[in-house]
Amino acid sequence: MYEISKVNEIKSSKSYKLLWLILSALVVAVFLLSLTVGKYQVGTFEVCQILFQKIVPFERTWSPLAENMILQVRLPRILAAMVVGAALAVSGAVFQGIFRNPLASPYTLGVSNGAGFGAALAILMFNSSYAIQSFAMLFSLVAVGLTFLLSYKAKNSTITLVLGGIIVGSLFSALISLIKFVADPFEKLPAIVFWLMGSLASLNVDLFKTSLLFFIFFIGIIWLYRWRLNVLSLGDEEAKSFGVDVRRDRIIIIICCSFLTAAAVSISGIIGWVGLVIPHIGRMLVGPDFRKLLPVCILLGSAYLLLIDDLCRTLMTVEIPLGVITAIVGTPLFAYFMLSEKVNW
Amino acid sequence: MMKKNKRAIAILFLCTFLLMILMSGCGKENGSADKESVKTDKQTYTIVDQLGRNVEIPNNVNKIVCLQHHTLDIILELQAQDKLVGVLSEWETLLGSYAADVFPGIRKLGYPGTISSLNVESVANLKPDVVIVSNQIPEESINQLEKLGIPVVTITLYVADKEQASTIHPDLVNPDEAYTEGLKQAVTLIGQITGKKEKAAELWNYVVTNRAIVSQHLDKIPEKDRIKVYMANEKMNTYGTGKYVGVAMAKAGARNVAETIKGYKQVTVEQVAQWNPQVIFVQSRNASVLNEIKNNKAWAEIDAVKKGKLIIAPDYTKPWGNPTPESMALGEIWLAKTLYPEAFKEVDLDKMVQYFYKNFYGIDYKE
Repeated sequence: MYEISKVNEIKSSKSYKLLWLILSALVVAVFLLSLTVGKYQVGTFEVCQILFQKIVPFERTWSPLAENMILQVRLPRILAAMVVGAALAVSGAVFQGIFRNPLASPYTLGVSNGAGFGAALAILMFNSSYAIQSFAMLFSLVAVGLTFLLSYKAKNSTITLVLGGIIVGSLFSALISLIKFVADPFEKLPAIVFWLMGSLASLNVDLFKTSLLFFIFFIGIIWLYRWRLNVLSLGDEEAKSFGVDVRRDRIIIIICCSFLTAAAVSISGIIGWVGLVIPHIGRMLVGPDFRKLLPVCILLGSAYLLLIDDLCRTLMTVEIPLGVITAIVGTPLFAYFMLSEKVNW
Repeated sequence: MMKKNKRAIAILFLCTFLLMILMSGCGKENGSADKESVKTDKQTYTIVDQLGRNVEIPNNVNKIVCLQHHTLDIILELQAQDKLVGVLSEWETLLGSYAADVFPGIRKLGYPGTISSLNVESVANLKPDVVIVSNQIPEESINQLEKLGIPVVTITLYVADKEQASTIHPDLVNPDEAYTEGLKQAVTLIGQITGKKEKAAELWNYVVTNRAIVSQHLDKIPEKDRIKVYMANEKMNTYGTGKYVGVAMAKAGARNVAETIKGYKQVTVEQVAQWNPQVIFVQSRNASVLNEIKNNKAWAEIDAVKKGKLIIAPDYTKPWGNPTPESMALGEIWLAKTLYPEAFKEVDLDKMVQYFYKNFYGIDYKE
């Protein structure tokens, strides 16, 4: 197996490196583009000056308002969009791999419904962003924990995990409906609905900064497991024959992915389709090998969500929820891949 | 394998490092220096807004973004509309089209947000001197605007301790005092910000005068003869205690049958039949609800329906969840006069309405 993969790697390494370069350039381009677009007019040259003022000493010709707009409003939001996109794409790819199911997404284990319930509860009771984010995080982990418990009592196969996810997800979605019903229809309900549709409009920069390390840590662990992931995605029997402790490794990986997804969802609200579509596009480009798939997913996911978020803040004078646009853009894309039989499984 | 992992870890550390550098760019050190430069070119003074926040307002305010419809209403009454550069996008549903009669230019303004959300860049692009928001705006949006050096004033229209004020659904202990003081504060604040202090004082005095007229005339009506009133809204919702409508009813000598429930809630026909109100009234925007009540057999035996006491409140009464100067000055007197026509027969309400519209909005009132 090792020999074979070695040969494949050599054969395709050149084109992969090229792809990697192209995608990285794409991400940088989208990043710079995102800094220059927005409802507040700042010239492209000014944006570059503001961005590089620490390195190159420019004369301050721009207004302080423009500088704050770029550094305090756009930059944190852009970084958040990229990190959330990357996290969702990575955990989507991993879940699809270990569940051996093209329909798996980061939300398969009930993370999104748990987070939604936590956030709705926090909006109902406290209405502070710290409470919303920590409740979302807490309850998404509670949801995954329940799913684990269910499948542990059953046989802990991937099927029972997915089923457990559906059960727990339904429970929490019913609880969300209950909170929506109880909430004040004019004042609390719109906030809950808006959160459930996902948005980066009211990003808490300080909280985002502290959670950055968290993202890097869990993506790092998943990266270290890239070989095991390849083996696990062959199926339990095959993985066992390679001498892999299937159960232990799967649990570690799922826990990492759940933390990753929970952290992403608690920042941005529920954003569908990124974790489902991006891994498919990634697999189309580089195949199912996680050593290549993971970096490609990170690049694609961050660029995709960043572009979508740019649309959200520029299309109308008011903010549009992220989840709405990802679904509107994501569904035709996915339909196209399905019809053109590019979704290989 | 190990070697590769080491490389991966090294790359990760590099990523972390780069991200940290980028994030430090959004740190606070730029902010403080810039705020200084913003401040020096303008004279400012400090006010306390209705969430108890200290806000520095420039002496000369020429551009206002207003994302709170009651505040917009008060700005129109103070005739300070020429300072508006942006309003909330749903002003027409929340206030009614009269706002465009008072201020035709409103249709050409920017709409950078709603009552509960705003687009920071859209607001900043209008280059406002002050932004006025409701307490439904997320605190992050307020923080972002303040980082950009744009002062943000929150208007809640009620007075409560700090914790209560930030929760949107307050459990007001004394709703009458909370709303009366709250509206007085709001009118004064808005008068101050827009530079229309005298007009604001005149407006509030008019409210006080008219409320005094109502209470004087009500003295003649003994407590036991007070009429039981139900307010019908869409989908069987009604206002209980803690909302301004309840206060208005009490001031006008009516007994709100829904006084046992809190806030704006859905009730059942059975419940209303149990209460058996003598008068049912609706806001003018919900006129269709009255037809539903008339045509529904379930309502037929309720006192108000039997005696045909189903009343549409005129536009100027504004019996909403939160008070407006108009609802306090004209709405309460209208309700009292409607319920007790004998006691209020020498009160010429039509003249008052015309005076209010002419003197504050600057237009004639039309039905």
